[in-house]
Amino acid sequence: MFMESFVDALYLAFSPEVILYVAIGVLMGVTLGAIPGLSGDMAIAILLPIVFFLEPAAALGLLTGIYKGGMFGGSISAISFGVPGTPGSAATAIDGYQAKLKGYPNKALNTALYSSVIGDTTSDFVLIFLALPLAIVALTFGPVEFFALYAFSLLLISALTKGKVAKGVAMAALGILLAMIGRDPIGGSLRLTFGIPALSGGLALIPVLVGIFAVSELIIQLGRAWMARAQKIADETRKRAESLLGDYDPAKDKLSFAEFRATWRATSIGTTMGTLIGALPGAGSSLAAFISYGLAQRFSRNRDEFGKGSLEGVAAAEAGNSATSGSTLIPLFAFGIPGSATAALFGAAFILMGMTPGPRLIYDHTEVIYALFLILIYANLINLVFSHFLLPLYSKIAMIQSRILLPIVCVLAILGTFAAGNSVIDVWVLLFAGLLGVVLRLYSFPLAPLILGFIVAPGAERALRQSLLIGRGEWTHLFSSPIAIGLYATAAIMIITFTFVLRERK
Amino acid sequence: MNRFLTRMLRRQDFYTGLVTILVGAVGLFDIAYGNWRPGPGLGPHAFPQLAYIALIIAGMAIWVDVARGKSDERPDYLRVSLITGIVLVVVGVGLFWLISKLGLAVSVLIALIGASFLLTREPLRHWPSTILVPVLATIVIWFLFVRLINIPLPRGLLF
Repeated sequence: MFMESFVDALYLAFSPEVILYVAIGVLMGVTLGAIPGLSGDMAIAILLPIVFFLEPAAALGLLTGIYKGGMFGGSISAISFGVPGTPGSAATAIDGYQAKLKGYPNKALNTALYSSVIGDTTSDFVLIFLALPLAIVALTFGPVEFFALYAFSLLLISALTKGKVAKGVAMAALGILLAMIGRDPIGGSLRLTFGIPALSGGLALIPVLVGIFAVSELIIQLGRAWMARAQKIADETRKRAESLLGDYDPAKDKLSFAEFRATWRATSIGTTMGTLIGALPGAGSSLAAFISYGLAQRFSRNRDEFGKGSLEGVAAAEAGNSATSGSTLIPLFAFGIPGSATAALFGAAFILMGMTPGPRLIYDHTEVIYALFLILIYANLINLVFSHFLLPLYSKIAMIQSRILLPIVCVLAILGTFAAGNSVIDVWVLLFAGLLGVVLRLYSFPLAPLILGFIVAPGAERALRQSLLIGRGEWTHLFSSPIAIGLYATAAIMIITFTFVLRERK
Repeated sequence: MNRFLTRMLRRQDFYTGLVTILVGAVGLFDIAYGNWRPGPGLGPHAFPQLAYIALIIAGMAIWVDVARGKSDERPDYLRVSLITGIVLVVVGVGLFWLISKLGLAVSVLIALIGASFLLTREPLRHWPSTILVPVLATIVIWFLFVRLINIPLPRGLLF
């Protein structure tokens, strides 16, 4: 049975069409990740409605390619201009840009590439080996345990996202309320529709996700570009980058094996921390990168070099950032709970393709999921090969001004959302979700808890109401299972621990 | 006390917390006095009620942070971002109207060239990015949505 599924998965994953989509995805991800203001996540969000029309393996290949490429792409502008292309690459900019100023950008970029691929691949293997056993455990869960799991995720993601607990909780609550619009799943009565018949079916996932994540960021970037400031900054960055290349000697800027070996400890620390932190809902790649950077500095023999162009600093930050990529999908595969924005986007892609994220996902769609596991691994190889040969071109791509692509991405978002549901209402929801996202971003509200709240609310409500029906209305029934008690206790311990870690980091 | 209140009122997050609490309070008021039907078990209002209570608690926690001197700064680009957002809503609706009159390709081309000209200084001097890129993007978008996906958009006069 296993071998049959595995052979089918091999055919799916290594079909020429899927390999082509993965390669296109990697190139798209690196390009968009390298341009400050755009990101791989944004590309995934925009393409969600379009992948709906592809075969599942091809669609997942494209999204995986974008994800992997975007992870590394962020570090290109971080090293080349000191402007992180993605939030996760902010820690890479500390030493990466200093390395560039000292005249060895190529060494820094190659260090970032190799540590990124090592961290990412390790994290993917952890996902592959942990997702199935955890899913088996999750299959024994009843409503009490599932409610505890949803509460655990919501608490963690609210508390850990950017360290803003109160605003995180508010966002999770807002996400839950948005998910409550429409019919009550148990009684069937209408809720929070404000008398608008079009809302009786509830808000669709795609317009809310794309609006909150992508359109809101696009609106902010468009506004900045319109004020011509972005263009001026980009021009200055380009001039500065070109002037720095005056005395540049490419012959002296090649990463030797000894230099690569010297970053091995930092890469290992980054890989371990990134994989662990990535598996926690809400912690995110930025936190993983900074914690990895801090730890690598503490354990380095050359700690004084950190902040002055240290390749170890680049390796730790980039490995920490990229090692979250596989492990962040563990809660999605095992429990159906997306632990990060990217996992939420992958969850939405599964739902669009008729696959429900959760413990039954691997059993019900074994071939596709095994194919995805294989794609996750070889997408790293494609990323490594492409990036190795195209690094000089990638650095030029990072100079592309985002204003050129912003209108195109906007049109794609609008048409794609319409295409997914054939509904003009979805386009309205997309645009208003975008406006809501703008306000929330500008007032520093974290968006990941909102999306998690929106996605898990229906399941959490069902689990809570079923638990209380079984417990005859007694709230104490929610604490009747040892697993549930363990989850509540773990959430409390993790929140306290991370609060101290974050304070120390500040 | 007066100084404390004045300092609170000057902080951006005081108002953020206030709006959060108000949304929660209005929601709870709606559940208490609005037209909510009872349902099996906890009823359909229970989960929204929990969310509203969480909003009020979060708003209060934001105020506690403000009282301790922690507050986010007033956002930059607020006005321009909101104006851009409203313009995008109008453009989004206008785009669908235009597609029904002129067809997908022409409407998208007009929208892209218009946006590029608005976002670029001396747009004619930068013609590769303000004219050539929109033309190429329109061809790709037309191919993707009309030839590959074949979305049922209203047919226009042109193509």
